[in-house]
Amino acid sequence: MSSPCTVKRPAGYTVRTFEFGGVAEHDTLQCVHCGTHWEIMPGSGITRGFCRNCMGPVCGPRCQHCYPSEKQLDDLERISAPTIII
Amino acid sequence: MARYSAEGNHATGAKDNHAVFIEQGSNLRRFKTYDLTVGASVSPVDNAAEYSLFRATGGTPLGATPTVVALDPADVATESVPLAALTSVDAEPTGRTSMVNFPLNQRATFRWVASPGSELITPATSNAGFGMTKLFTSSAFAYECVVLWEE
Repeated sequence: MSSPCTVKRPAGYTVRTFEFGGVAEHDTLQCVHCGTHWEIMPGSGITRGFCRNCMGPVCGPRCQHCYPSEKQLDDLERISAPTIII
Repeated sequence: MARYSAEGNHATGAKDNHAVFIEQGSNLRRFKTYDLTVGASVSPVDNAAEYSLFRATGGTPLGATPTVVALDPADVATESVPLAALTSVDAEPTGRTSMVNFPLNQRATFRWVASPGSELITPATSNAGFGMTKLFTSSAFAYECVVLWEE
């Protein structure tokens, strides 16, 4: 049996069930900019980060500049359906 | 908010084959993916694969429509359009972005559940949606998944 990898405020949870009854459990965190989830793996060596504007974790260097996920969704919707101002 | 379930399966299960893709219908609205279960119903052997629950901004050539079940029978039918897999290699949807990646042996079963407020949100734009695919596989094998979303 493996030990669970947990954080204080998880964004999700994963569980793998193996053929002979083994179970691997991980909490997940979510990037506050792109929305990606990743499993907590202490010692993985993967570079993550923290946005002090959004006060939440970011998935890596590609998301280091603050562009909140809600803002990204709003921009996507605005671009696809532009408002006509008369 | 109503919650729905759809099952996807891919008979050949080669790399970049999509088991299911849920895309926006004619009435655009945001929907949130919060649960995913992946496994193999055929006799499993030691095959490695990396799966991805992805979001895409564009359409996909997938064809058939799987059955969508409203988790609460009192809810109305879903506004989104679920598309099932083809048996051949599928073209990659436009703007595919992996949102949850996980490696998994064919002998194992995987489940991911988002905490309330941390679901994967699909924007209310035409043909946007989310789907399930394999990013890598050591051998092509069939796999199944069940996705749950609310809208």
